[in-house]
Amino acid sequence: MKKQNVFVLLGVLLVLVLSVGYAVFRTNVIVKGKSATVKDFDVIFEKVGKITEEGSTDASAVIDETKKLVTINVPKLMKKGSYAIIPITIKNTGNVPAKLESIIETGLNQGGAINVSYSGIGVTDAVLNPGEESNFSVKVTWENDLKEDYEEIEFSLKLNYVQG
Amino acid sequence: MKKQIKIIILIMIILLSSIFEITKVSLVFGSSYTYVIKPLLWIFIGVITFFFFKNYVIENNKYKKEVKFYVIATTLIYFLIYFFLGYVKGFAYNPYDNTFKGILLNLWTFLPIVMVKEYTRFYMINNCGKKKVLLWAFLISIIFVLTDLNVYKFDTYFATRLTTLEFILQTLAPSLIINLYLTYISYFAGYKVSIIYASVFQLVLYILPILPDINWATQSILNASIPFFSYIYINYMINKMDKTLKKKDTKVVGVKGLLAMIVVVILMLCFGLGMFPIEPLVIASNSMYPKIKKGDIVIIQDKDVNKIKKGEVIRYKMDGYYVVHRVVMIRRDSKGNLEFITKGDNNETIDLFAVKEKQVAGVVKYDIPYAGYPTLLLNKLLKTNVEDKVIVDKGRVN
Repeated sequence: MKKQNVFVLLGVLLVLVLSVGYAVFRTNVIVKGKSATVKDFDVIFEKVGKITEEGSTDASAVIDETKKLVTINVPKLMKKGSYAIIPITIKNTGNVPAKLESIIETGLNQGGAINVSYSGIGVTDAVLNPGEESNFSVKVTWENDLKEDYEEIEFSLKLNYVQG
Repeated sequence: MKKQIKIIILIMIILLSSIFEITKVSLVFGSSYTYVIKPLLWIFIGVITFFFFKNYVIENNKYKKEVKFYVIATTLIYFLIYFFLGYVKGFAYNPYDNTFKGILLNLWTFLPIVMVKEYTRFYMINNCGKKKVLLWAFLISIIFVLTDLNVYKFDTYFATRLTTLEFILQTLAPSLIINLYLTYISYFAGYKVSIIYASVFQLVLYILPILPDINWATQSILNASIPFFSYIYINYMINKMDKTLKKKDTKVVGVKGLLAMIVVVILMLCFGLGMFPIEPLVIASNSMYPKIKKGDIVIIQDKDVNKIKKGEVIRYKMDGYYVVHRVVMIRRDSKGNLEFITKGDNNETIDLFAVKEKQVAGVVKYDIPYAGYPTLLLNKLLKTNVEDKVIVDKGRVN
């Protein structure tokens, strides 16, 4: 009986230590605002389609070697109202149905004059099943008056998917 | 019917389980395929296995208790290293659905499959006979590797030579090592032990709200090295218990040897993760000749851009590759940001455009002559055109 009580006590202490440890851990650890890489999840950028431009020249989009990042470059928008539309295809090459949790844009800094909008994709409950492809487009438009001189627009996109 | 023929029939049934994915019929069913059809398919295979082999319960469990202990220890070591890497690289949100319903759904899609796989593996390896058991172990492992492969990625795997090599190193090799390990422990300790190794880690992934944010390459190294070293140790202990180990061999692998191997694995992982403030780079051109030659490996160290001096050799980022050139002038642009004018020692003119602060990726600390030639040769075989990119050496407007 005595031995059994010792084991029970140790078990309770272990649970307490783990609980406190976990609480301290969660309070202090910094968590990145994206999903961790796990083998079942793998939504990739498959390809970039034909870019449509109005008042713009030489816009391009390059998918990086990991296929998780696409870099969009719009070197010249002639005037207010000009735009470039970049169609992109994504594919779920993972094992689990996935839904979009967030779109992460980095590198865009035009003081609000340039607007980036998305068509065919959004943070909804729409699920992309394993093996399925989906098309969406990114539209880069000069919408408002510029406060400084026009600079070449370049930014990157990452899509954050979670289980659907 | 001979047992070996039964095993072959079972293998064919297991391979047929992927038919829906290979023919893309699974796309018709949508998420129902993942959450309903696939688990039921594997349960059906489990039932067939049971009826095929129910009269043949042959176990080789002489060392079951010891092997079980070492497998549990291996699983714990795996956890420790995995979460240690989280402290190094940071944590990110778990993409699995952590709600109660989500966890139950994931358990339903995962557990039946892993249990049937290990149950089937156990019966196959323990009924293939003593002769050529190694060959059967290899064949059984290959079959389960094929079931582990992601069919939806096949066109990506073999797109280029580089992606094929990545597939072999990051997917195929770790999966083969894991499956050989599972077959080995299934042979010596039964299917329950192999279920423990195959499932405990994944179960934890379903439950935790945050996970270490480590890349595929690191995970592949971890997935391959842990079972490999565990196998070496378990095999050593079994031979020791069998007293088949020669006296001179007892010094070769012992606890110290195992600890040393674990330390080497951790160091390799940390180096690959960039935990050390240095990293190697192979030089693919002679633009810095004679100081740095094509085929040399340079050791790059991080440095604050504000502390970089004229005359130092820096590495800077271009579109998809790096350039290693000497700083000949430092100035500031109209916004006050640093710009570095660089030139290759062996080039006649300075580089076309100034290097921006954010392009700078470290300074060269050491040079190891000729050490990078194997990498250049491999790149040539894989046709990654590294030399072409570096020879261009043009700056870009950024």
